[in-house]
Amino acid sequence: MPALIDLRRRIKSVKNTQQITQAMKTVSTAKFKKAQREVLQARPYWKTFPDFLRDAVSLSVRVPHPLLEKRAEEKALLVIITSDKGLCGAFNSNLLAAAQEFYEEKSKVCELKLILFGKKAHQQFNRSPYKVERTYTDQIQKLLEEDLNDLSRFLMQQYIFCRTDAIYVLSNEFKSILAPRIVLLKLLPIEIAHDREDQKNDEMPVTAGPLPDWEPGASPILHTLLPKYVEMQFVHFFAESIAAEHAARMMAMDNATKNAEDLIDDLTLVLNKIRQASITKELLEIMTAVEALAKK
Amino acid sequence: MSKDLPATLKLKVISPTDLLVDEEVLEVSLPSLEGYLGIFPGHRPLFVALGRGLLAYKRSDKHSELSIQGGYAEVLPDHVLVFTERAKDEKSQPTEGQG
Repeated sequence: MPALIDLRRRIKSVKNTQQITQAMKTVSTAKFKKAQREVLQARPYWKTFPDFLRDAVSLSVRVPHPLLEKRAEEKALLVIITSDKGLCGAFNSNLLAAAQEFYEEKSKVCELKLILFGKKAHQQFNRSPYKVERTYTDQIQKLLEEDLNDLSRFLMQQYIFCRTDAIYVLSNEFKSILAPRIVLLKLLPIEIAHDREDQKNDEMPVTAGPLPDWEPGASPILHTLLPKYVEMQFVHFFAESIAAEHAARMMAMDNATKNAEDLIDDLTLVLNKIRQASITKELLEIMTAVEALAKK
Repeated sequence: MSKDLPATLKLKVISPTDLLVDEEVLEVSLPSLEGYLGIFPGHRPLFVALGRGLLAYKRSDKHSELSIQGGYAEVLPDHVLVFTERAKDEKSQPTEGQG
Protein backbone atom coordinates (compact mmCIF):
# COMPACT_ATOMS: atom_id res chain seq x y z
CA MET A 1 0.00 0.00 0.00
CA PRO A 2 1.45 3.39 -0.97
CA ALA A 3 2.33 5.85 1.72
CA LEU A 4 0.07 8.84 2.33
CA ILE A 5 2.80 11.32 1.51
CA ASP A 6 3.39 9.68 -1.89
CA LEU A 7 -0.28 9.87 -2.76
CA ARG A 8 -0.48 13.52 -1.73
CA ARG A 9 2.50 14.32 -3.94
CA ARG A 10 0.96 12.43 -6.84
CA ILE A 11 -2.34 14.29 -6.52
CA LYS A 12 -0.53 17.61 -6.38
CA SER A 13 1.41 16.82 -9.53
CA VAL A 14 -1.72 15.75 -11.40
CA LYS A 15 -3.39 18.98 -10.33
CA ASN A 16 -0.49 20.98 -11.74
CA THR A 17 -0.73 19.14 -15.03
CA GLN A 18 -4.44 19.78 -15.10
CA GLN A 19 -3.86 23.50 -14.67
CA ILE A 20 -1.48 23.48 -17.61
CA THR A 21 -3.88 21.57 -19.90
CA GLN A 22 -6.69 23.86 -18.80
CA ALA A 23 -4.63 26.93 -19.72
CA MET A 24 -3.67 25.42 -23.07
CA LYS A 25 -7.30 24.69 -23.76
CA THR A 26 -8.26 28.28 -23.01
CA VAL A 27 -5.54 29.59 -25.32
CA SER A 28 -6.53 27.22 -28.14
CA THR A 29 -10.18 28.14 -27.72
CA ALA A 30 -9.41 31.82 -28.22
CA LYS A 31 -7.17 31.12 -31.23
CA PHE A 32 -9.66 28.66 -32.65
CA LYS A 33 -12.54 31.15 -32.45
CA LYS A 34 -10.53 33.66 -34.46
CA ALA A 35 -9.39 31.09 -37.04
CA GLN A 36 -12.89 29.68 -37.34
CA ARG A 37 -14.38 33.09 -37.96
CA GLU A 38 -11.85 33.78 -40.69
CA VAL A 39 -12.44 30.41 -42.34
CA LEU A 40 -16.22 30.69 -42.24
CA GLN A 41 -16.18 34.21 -43.65
CA ALA A 42 -13.84 33.27 -46.47
CA ARG A 43 -15.58 30.04 -47.43
CA PRO A 44 -18.05 31.59 -49.89
CA TYR A 45 -15.04 32.86 -51.85
CA TRP A 46 -13.21 29.54 -51.77
CA LYS A 47 -16.30 27.58 -52.69
CA THR A 48 -17.49 29.79 -55.57
CA PHE A 49 -14.16 30.68 -57.14
CA PRO A 50 -13.53 27.16 -58.55
CA ASP A 51 -16.99 27.18 -60.17
CA PHE A 52 -16.30 30.58 -61.64
CA LEU A 53 -12.98 29.36 -63.00
CA ARG A 54 -14.61 26.27 -64.45
CA ASP A 55 -17.16 28.42 -66.27
CA ALA A 56 -14.46 30.77 -67.49
CA VAL A 57 -12.22 28.01 -68.80
CA SER A 58 -14.92 25.91 -70.38
CA LEU A 59 -16.61 28.90 -72.02
CA SER A 60 -13.42 30.32 -73.40
CA VAL A 61 -12.54 28.90 -76.76
CA ARG A 62 -9.78 26.70 -75.35
CA VAL A 63 -7.24 29.35 -74.58
CA PRO A 64 -4.01 27.40 -74.07
CA HIS A 65 -2.25 28.04 -70.79
CA PRO A 66 0.76 26.24 -69.29
CA LEU A 67 -1.07 25.66 -66.01
CA LEU A 68 -3.84 23.78 -67.80
CA GLU A 69 -1.52 21.57 -69.81
CA LYS A 70 -1.64 17.92 -68.81
CA ARG A 71 1.50 15.83 -69.04
CA ALA A 72 2.30 12.22 -68.26
CA GLU A 73 3.26 12.05 -64.61
CA GLU A 74 6.91 11.19 -64.42
CA LYS A 75 7.84 13.58 -61.67
CA ALA A 76 5.42 14.76 -59.02
CA LEU A 77 5.51 16.97 -55.95
CA LEU A 78 3.57 16.36 -52.77
CA VAL A 79 3.00 19.27 -50.40
CA ILE A 80 2.28 18.13 -46.84
CA ILE A 81 0.89 20.67 -44.40
CA THR A 82 1.22 19.75 -40.72
CA SER A 83 1.67 21.77 -37.55
CA ASP A 84 4.83 22.83 -35.74
CA LYS A 85 3.58 21.89 -32.32
CA GLY A 86 2.19 18.65 -30.99
CA LEU A 87 -0.39 18.03 -28.26
CA CYS A 88 -3.24 18.14 -30.70
CA GLY A 89 -4.46 14.57 -30.72
CA ALA A 90 -4.39 12.65 -33.96
CA PHE A 91 -4.22 15.83 -36.08
CA ASN A 92 -0.71 15.19 -37.40
CA SER A 93 -0.45 11.43 -37.09
CA ASN A 94 -3.52 10.77 -39.26
CA LEU A 95 -2.25 13.14 -41.90
CA LEU A 96 1.25 11.67 -41.87
CA ALA A 97 -0.17 8.17 -42.16
CA ALA A 98 -2.14 9.28 -45.20
CA ALA A 99 0.99 10.92 -46.62
CA GLN A 100 2.98 7.74 -46.09
CA GLU A 101 0.36 5.70 -47.89
CA PHE A 102 0.22 8.14 -50.79
CA TYR A 103 3.99 8.19 -51.03
CA GLU A 104 4.30 4.44 -51.16
CA GLU A 105 1.65 4.14 -53.83
CA LYS A 106 2.83 7.03 -55.97
CA SER A 107 6.56 6.43 -55.76
CA LYS A 108 6.06 3.11 -57.53
CA VAL A 109 4.89 4.85 -60.69
CA CYS A 110 6.77 8.15 -60.65
CA GLU A 111 9.49 10.10 -58.96
CA LEU A 112 7.87 11.82 -56.01
CA LYS A 113 9.44 14.71 -54.14
CA LEU A 114 8.11 16.25 -50.97
CA ILE A 115 7.61 19.80 -49.78
CA LEU A 116 7.08 19.80 -46.05
CA PHE A 117 5.34 22.34 -43.85
CA GLY A 118 5.60 22.00 -40.10
CA LYS A 119 8.04 20.31 -37.76
CA LYS A 120 5.91 17.20 -37.52
CA ALA A 121 6.21 16.48 -41.23
CA HIS A 122 9.93 17.26 -41.04
CA GLN A 123 10.48 14.74 -38.24
CA GLN A 124 8.65 12.07 -40.16
CA PHE A 125 10.04 12.51 -43.65
CA ASN A 126 13.50 13.98 -43.28
CA ARG A 127 15.09 10.56 -43.69
CA SER A 128 16.92 8.72 -46.42
CA PRO A 129 14.31 7.12 -48.69
CA TYR A 130 12.36 10.33 -49.04
CA LYS A 131 13.38 13.07 -51.41
CA VAL A 132 12.60 16.40 -49.82
CA GLU A 133 12.57 19.43 -52.06
CA ARG A 134 11.89 22.11 -49.45
CA THR A 135 11.02 22.27 -45.77
CA TYR A 136 9.35 25.02 -43.77
CA THR A 137 9.40 24.42 -40.05
CA ASP A 138 9.63 27.81 -38.45
CA GLN A 139 6.40 29.45 -37.37
CA ILE A 140 4.29 28.31 -40.26
CA GLN A 141 1.29 29.88 -38.57
CA LYS A 142 2.82 33.30 -39.01
CA LEU A 143 3.36 33.01 -42.76
CA LEU A 144 1.76 36.02 -44.36
CA GLU A 145 -0.35 36.02 -47.44
CA GLU A 146 2.59 37.44 -49.40
CA ASP A 147 4.81 34.54 -48.29
CA LEU A 148 2.15 32.08 -49.36
CA ASN A 149 1.80 33.82 -52.70
CA ASP A 150 5.57 33.57 -53.18
CA LEU A 151 5.34 29.87 -52.45
CA SER A 152 2.55 29.32 -54.91
CA ARG A 153 4.50 31.23 -57.54
CA PHE A 154 7.45 28.91 -56.84
CA LEU A 155 5.19 25.89 -57.34
CA MET A 156 3.77 27.30 -60.55
CA GLN A 157 7.28 27.89 -61.85
CA GLN A 158 8.21 24.32 -61.05
CA TYR A 159 5.26 23.21 -63.08
CA ILE A 160 5.63 25.60 -65.99
CA PHE A 161 9.34 24.80 -66.42
CA CYS A 162 8.55 21.07 -66.44
CA ARG A 163 10.49 20.30 -63.26
CA THR A 164 7.41 18.47 -62.12
CA ASP A 165 4.39 17.07 -63.92
CA ALA A 166 1.86 17.25 -61.10
CA ILE A 167 1.57 18.91 -57.71
CA TYR A 168 -0.54 17.39 -54.96
CA VAL A 169 -1.42 18.97 -51.64
CA LEU A 170 -2.29 16.95 -48.56
CA SER A 171 -3.68 18.89 -45.64
CA ASN A 172 -6.26 18.93 -42.89
CA GLU A 173 -9.49 20.75 -43.54
CA PHE A 174 -11.58 22.13 -40.72
CA LYS A 175 -14.82 20.15 -40.83
CA SER A 176 -16.09 20.25 -37.28
CA ILE A 177 -14.61 20.71 -33.84
CA LEU A 178 -14.64 16.95 -33.32
CA ALA A 179 -12.39 15.86 -36.16
CA PRO A 180 -10.62 17.43 -39.13
CA ARG A 181 -10.99 16.00 -42.60
CA ILE A 182 -7.91 14.97 -44.54
CA VAL A 183 -7.96 16.44 -48.04
CA LEU A 184 -5.81 15.40 -50.96
CA LEU A 185 -6.03 17.79 -53.87
CA LYS A 186 -4.29 17.99 -57.19
CA LEU A 187 -3.17 21.60 -57.31
CA LEU A 188 -1.51 21.52 -60.73
CA PRO A 189 -2.31 20.99 -63.52
CA ILE A 190 -5.58 22.78 -62.88
CA GLU A 191 -8.29 20.28 -63.58
CA ILE A 192 -11.59 21.61 -64.72
CA ALA A 193 -14.38 19.43 -63.42
CA HIS A 194 -17.03 19.20 -66.09
CA ASP A 195 -20.60 18.66 -65.10
CA ARG A 196 -21.68 15.07 -65.55
CA GLU A 197 -24.22 15.73 -68.28
CA ASP A 198 -21.72 17.79 -70.23
CA GLN A 199 -19.29 14.98 -70.59
CA LYS A 200 -20.91 13.72 -73.75
CA ASN A 201 -20.43 16.96 -75.61
CA ASP A 202 -17.19 18.02 -74.03
CA GLU A 203 -16.51 20.73 -76.55
CA MET A 204 -19.80 22.50 -75.88
CA PRO A 205 -20.02 25.34 -73.37
CA VAL A 206 -21.52 24.64 -69.96
CA THR A 207 -24.50 26.93 -70.35
CA ALA A 208 -26.69 27.06 -73.38
CA GLY A 209 -27.00 30.28 -75.27
CA PRO A 210 -24.54 32.65 -76.86
CA LEU A 211 -20.85 32.42 -76.08
CA PRO A 212 -19.85 35.04 -73.56
CA ASP A 213 -18.09 38.27 -74.37
CA TRP A 214 -14.74 38.94 -72.77
CA GLU A 215 -13.55 42.28 -71.54
CA PRO A 216 -10.62 42.92 -72.19
CA GLY A 217 -10.37 39.44 -73.82
CA ALA A 218 -10.39 35.76 -72.91
CA SER A 219 -6.67 35.30 -73.01
CA PRO A 220 -5.62 38.21 -70.71
CA ILE A 221 -8.33 37.32 -68.21
CA LEU A 222 -7.36 33.65 -68.04
CA HIS A 223 -3.67 34.48 -67.83
CA THR A 224 -4.22 36.36 -64.59
CA LEU A 225 -7.12 34.26 -63.35
CA LEU A 226 -5.36 30.90 -63.30
CA PRO A 227 -2.38 31.98 -61.15
CA LYS A 228 -4.83 33.80 -58.89
CA TYR A 229 -6.71 30.54 -58.46
CA VAL A 230 -3.57 28.66 -57.41
CA GLU A 231 -2.68 31.38 -54.92
CA MET A 232 -6.16 31.33 -53.52
CA GLN A 233 -6.07 27.56 -53.09
CA PHE A 234 -2.81 27.79 -51.18
CA VAL A 235 -4.09 30.46 -48.79
CA HIS A 236 -7.19 28.35 -48.37
CA PHE A 237 -5.24 25.20 -47.39
CA PHE A 238 -3.28 27.05 -44.74
CA ALA A 239 -6.25 28.81 -43.20
CA GLU A 240 -8.19 25.54 -43.01
CA SER A 241 -5.24 23.67 -41.58
CA ILE A 242 -4.66 26.30 -38.88
CA ALA A 243 -8.32 26.32 -37.85
CA ALA A 244 -8.35 22.52 -37.76
CA GLU A 245 -5.16 22.45 -35.68
CA HIS A 246 -6.59 24.77 -33.03
CA ALA A 247 -9.82 22.79 -32.96
CA ALA A 248 -7.88 19.53 -32.54
CA ARG A 249 -5.71 20.99 -29.79
CA MET A 250 -8.76 22.36 -28.01
CA MET A 251 -10.36 18.92 -28.01
CA ALA A 252 -7.17 17.15 -26.96
CA MET A 253 -6.62 19.52 -24.06
CA ASP A 254 -10.24 19.27 -23.02
CA ASN A 255 -9.91 15.49 -22.86
CA ALA A 256 -6.64 15.79 -20.95
CA THR A 257 -8.27 18.08 -18.39
CA LYS A 258 -11.15 15.65 -17.96
CA ASN A 259 -8.78 12.70 -17.59
CA ALA A 260 -6.79 14.58 -14.95
CA GLU A 261 -10.02 15.25 -13.09
CA ASP A 262 -10.87 11.52 -13.12
CA LEU A 263 -7.38 10.62 -11.99
CA ILE A 264 -7.56 13.12 -9.12
CA ASP A 265 -10.92 11.65 -8.04
CA ASP A 266 -9.53 8.10 -8.06
CA LEU A 267 -6.39 9.06 -6.18
CA THR A 268 -8.34 11.07 -3.60
CA LEU A 269 -10.55 8.05 -2.97
CA VAL A 270 -7.51 5.82 -2.36
CA LEU A 271 -5.98 8.51 -0.16
CA ASN A 272 -9.12 8.79 1.97
CA LYS A 273 -9.37 5.02 2.32
CA ILE A 274 -5.77 4.76 3.52
CA ARG A 275 -6.24 7.66 5.91
CA GLN A 276 -9.43 6.14 7.30
CA ALA A 277 -7.70 2.77 7.71
CA SER A 278 -4.88 4.32 9.67
CA ILE A 279 -7.34 6.23 11.91
CA THR A 280 -9.31 3.04 12.56
CA LYS A 281 -6.12 1.22 13.35
CA GLU A 282 -5.04 3.87 15.85
CA LEU A 283 -8.50 3.88 17.48
CA LEU A 284 -8.41 0.11 17.81
CA GLU A 285 -5.02 0.31 19.44
CA ILE A 286 -6.25 2.87 21.96
CA MET A 287 -9.42 0.85 22.70
CA THR A 288 -7.43 -2.32 23.21
CA ALA A 289 -5.05 -0.48 25.52
CA VAL A 290 -7.94 0.98 27.56
CA GLU A 291 -9.61 -2.44 27.85
CA ALA A 292 -6.36 -4.02 28.93
CA LEU A 293 -5.90 -1.36 31.61
CA ALA A 294 -9.51 -1.75 32.85
CA LYS A 295 -9.04 -5.50 33.29
CA LYS A 296 -6.11 -4.96 35.63
CA MET B 1 -35.97 35.54 -80.44
CA SER B 2 -38.70 35.85 -77.86
CA LYS B 3 -37.11 35.19 -74.56
CA ASP B 4 -38.56 36.12 -71.22
CA LEU B 5 -36.12 38.55 -69.80
CA PRO B 6 -35.64 38.21 -66.07
CA ALA B 7 -36.88 41.18 -64.06
CA THR B 8 -34.02 41.21 -61.60
CA LEU B 9 -30.39 40.20 -61.32
CA LYS B 10 -28.98 38.13 -58.51
CA LEU B 11 -25.90 40.05 -57.45
CA LYS B 12 -23.20 38.34 -55.40
CA VAL B 13 -20.08 40.24 -54.44
CA ILE B 14 -17.51 38.02 -52.74
CA SER B 15 -14.18 39.10 -51.29
CA PRO B 16 -11.53 36.77 -49.83
CA THR B 17 -12.57 37.76 -46.32
CA ASP B 18 -16.28 38.33 -46.64
CA LEU B 19 -19.49 37.91 -48.59
CA LEU B 20 -20.12 41.58 -49.29
CA VAL B 21 -23.42 41.57 -51.16
CA ASP B 22 -25.97 38.85 -51.87
CA GLU B 23 -29.29 40.22 -53.11
CA GLU B 24 -31.72 40.73 -55.96
CA VAL B 25 -31.05 43.98 -57.79
CA LEU B 26 -32.41 45.87 -60.78
CA GLU B 27 -29.18 47.30 -62.11
CA VAL B 28 -25.45 46.99 -61.50
CA SER B 29 -22.62 49.22 -62.56
CA LEU B 30 -19.17 47.61 -62.67
CA PRO B 31 -15.84 49.44 -62.89
CA SER B 32 -14.15 47.58 -65.75
CA LEU B 33 -10.60 48.32 -66.81
CA GLU B 34 -11.81 50.61 -69.56
CA GLY B 35 -14.63 52.43 -67.83
CA TYR B 36 -17.92 51.71 -66.17
CA LEU B 37 -20.25 49.02 -67.49
CA GLY B 38 -23.96 49.18 -66.78
CA ILE B 39 -25.57 45.76 -66.44
CA PHE B 40 -29.32 45.23 -66.67
CA PRO B 41 -31.23 41.95 -66.36
CA GLY B 42 -30.96 39.88 -69.52
CA HIS B 43 -27.43 40.97 -70.35
CA ARG B 44 -25.33 38.86 -72.68
CA PRO B 45 -22.98 36.44 -70.92
CA LEU B 46 -19.79 38.35 -70.17
CA PHE B 47 -16.54 37.86 -68.32
CA VAL B 48 -14.92 41.08 -67.29
CA ALA B 49 -11.78 42.09 -65.43
CA LEU B 50 -12.39 44.87 -62.95
CA GLY B 51 -10.30 47.86 -62.02
CA ARG B 52 -10.42 50.23 -59.11
CA GLY B 53 -13.63 52.14 -58.59
CA LEU B 54 -17.17 52.13 -57.32
CA LEU B 55 -19.44 49.16 -57.77
CA ALA B 56 -22.96 50.55 -57.70
CA TYR B 57 -26.23 48.65 -57.65
CA LYS B 58 -29.89 49.59 -57.49
CA ARG B 59 -32.68 47.84 -55.70
CA SER B 60 -36.32 48.93 -56.02
CA ASP B 61 -36.00 51.45 -53.23
CA LYS B 62 -32.33 52.04 -52.59
CA HIS B 63 -29.16 52.82 -54.43
CA SER B 64 -25.95 51.45 -52.89
CA GLU B 65 -22.33 51.47 -53.81
CA LEU B 66 -19.10 50.08 -52.53
CA SER B 67 -15.54 50.85 -53.35
CA ILE B 68 -13.54 47.95 -54.76
CA GLN B 69 -10.10 47.34 -56.18
CA GLY B 70 -9.60 44.86 -58.96
CA GLY B 71 -11.17 41.47 -59.47
CA TYR B 72 -13.33 39.63 -61.95
CA ALA B 73 -16.99 39.42 -62.70
CA GLU B 74 -19.13 36.88 -64.46
CA VAL B 75 -22.31 38.24 -65.97
CA LEU B 76 -25.17 35.97 -67.01
CA PRO B 77 -28.71 37.03 -67.99
CA ASP B 78 -30.03 36.50 -64.48
CA HIS B 79 -27.03 36.83 -62.23
CA VAL B 80 -23.82 38.74 -61.66
CA LEU B 81 -21.00 37.17 -59.69
CA VAL B 82 -18.18 39.46 -58.62
CA PHE B 83 -14.88 38.40 -57.05
CA THR B 84 -13.14 41.42 -55.72
CA GLU B 85 -11.44 43.06 -52.81
CA ARG B 86 -12.84 45.93 -50.87
CA ALA B 87 -10.64 48.97 -51.35
CA LYS B 88 -8.38 49.31 -48.32
CA ASP B 89 -8.79 53.05 -47.75
CA GLU B 90 -12.57 52.73 -47.83
CA LYS B 91 -12.75 49.96 -45.28
CA SER B 92 -13.77 52.12 -42.34
CA GLN B 93 -16.40 54.12 -44.21
CA PRO B 94 -19.88 52.65 -44.16
CA THR B 95 -21.30 52.14 -47.62
CA GLU B 96 -24.36 54.11 -48.45
CA GLY B 97 -27.74 52.51 -48.04
CA GLN B 98 -26.55 49.25 -46.51
CA GLY B 99 -28.19 47.59 -43.56
